[in-house]
This record gives sequence, structure tokens and C-alpha cells, in this order.
Amino acid sequence: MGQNIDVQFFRPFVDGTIHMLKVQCQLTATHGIPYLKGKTPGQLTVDIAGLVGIWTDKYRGIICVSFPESTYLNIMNKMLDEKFDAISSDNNDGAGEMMNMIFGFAKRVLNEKGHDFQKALPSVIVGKNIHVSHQADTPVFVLPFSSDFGEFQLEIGLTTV
Amino acid sequence: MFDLKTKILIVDDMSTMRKIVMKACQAIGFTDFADAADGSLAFEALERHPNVGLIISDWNMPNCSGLDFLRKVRGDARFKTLPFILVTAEAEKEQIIEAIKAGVNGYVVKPFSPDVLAKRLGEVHSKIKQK
Repeated sequence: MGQNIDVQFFRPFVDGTIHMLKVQCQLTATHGIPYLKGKTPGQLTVDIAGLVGIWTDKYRGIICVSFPESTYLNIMNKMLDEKFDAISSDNNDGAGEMMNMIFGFAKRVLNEKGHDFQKALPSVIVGKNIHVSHQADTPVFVLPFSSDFGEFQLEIGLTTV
Repeated sequence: MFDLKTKILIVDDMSTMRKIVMKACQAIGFTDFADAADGSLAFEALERHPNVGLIISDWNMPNCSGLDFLRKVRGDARFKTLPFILVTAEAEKEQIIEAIKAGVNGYVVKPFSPDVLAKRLGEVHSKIKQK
């Protein structure tokens, strides 16, 4: 994929994120300017991430949606009409479900344009100030979002086959 | 529309999604639910709850997918005509055709609002009544 940001490729993931939050919790999210992970100081503190592995004819890698605890709980509380005050086994698979909805949206759009994304089951990682490691030498693009519930981000780390 | 007393079996490997579906159904007015975390467990739940009148199942699940579960349900004479709705985040044409061939009554694309689910349930119910 190189280090040039392919806006057309990322767009469905951005649109899927905005659509998912709008429909599922009536939240308006706004995306900021994408940047290469590790190249910008003051990056987001991540406490939970939902991720899927990518395996297509052209690309291999990982896509994940990552949240600080406060943003995540605000979203889950709205989505489920709950009052969670911590990330726990009662709510942590929500990050996987959100990634699933974002990926499903993007997969549909990109496959209509000739890509061959296959089904993928999401995973979740949880921990204080975690770091999602991508394959070595993979450029990882961070797509930051802001919302009334707080900041969060998408990370897209793909290599070309 | 389905009778609001209908017992709904909600199947999804993600507890969050089961809650989202249940919340949407409750917003429509349904009150009676059973749930399961994959297709195999859902079939056992069907055995335990013979009064289930509607299944809303995720498609993409480990162990036994929604499509496998649908085929199992349609292969059992007791549940051959039980209304079955698949929930998917993808809704690609080939997949929908596959599900229709397997006997699904309708599908809903995630994410969805209670209004969208209510509309889809109404359509499914009308189609079943016309048969």
C-alpha cells in the first residue's frame, strides 16, 4: 500500500464508523486528519480495541477501532441503555461488535469496487493504555475521530501482497 | 405484524449484540425472549423453548454460523416454517441468495434502529401470511 494514504480505500471505513454510531447510539462523530502511527506526539490513550484481520488477494493486515475507557463507556451506556462504570466482561465484546459493523459496511462497499474481502470474526483486546502491535514494517494509518462522547480512532495497518 | 406476545429467540455470539437486538424488540413492544450464543446452542434452546415463534439470528458466528443454524432448523420438521430472520453486517448479494435458498424469511443489516427492525418484521409477517 506504500505510505501514501489512499483516501478512496479508507473512506468506507470512515463512513462505516460514522454510520454505525449514528444509527446505533444517535452519536455524531467527526473524523480528523489521518496520520502515520508513531509519527505524531500526544496520541490517544487506548484502553480497549476491537480488531479484525484482513486477508485479501492484495492486502494482509489488521484494522482496529480503539477507545479510551471513558469514550467506550459513554458509547456502550448509550447503546445499551446501561450505567457501566468500568470495562468488564459485561460490556467488552461491544468493541468487537462495533468493529464488526464497521468492517461489514466497508467490506460491502470495497467488494463492490472489486476487492475480495472475506468474512472475519472480530477480536477484542482490553487493558490500561494498551498498544496494538501491527506486523513489523507495516505502515499503520491512524484515523482520529471526535464526538460528544469523547475521542477514539481507527487504525489501519496493511501490507500489499 | 407479529403478535407482541411472540417469544423471540435471539442468537448472537456477542452479548452486546444480543442486548441491542433485545432492546430494539422491546422498543417495538415484544416482551418474551430466549437467547443463545451460537447456532448449536440455539438449536438446544429451541428444544427447551418449543413456544418460540420467531428467530432473529446473527449470521457470522463461530462454531455454528447463522446459515448453518438456519439449515438445521429448516431440516427439522418441527421448525420447518418457523419465521427466521438473519442479522448481518455485510448483506452481499451472493450471501443473501444463499440464505434465501436455505429458507430464510428476511434479513436485517447491522446497524439498525428499532424502526427498521419493526418494518422488516412487518414485511416478513405479511409475506408469511400471503403464503
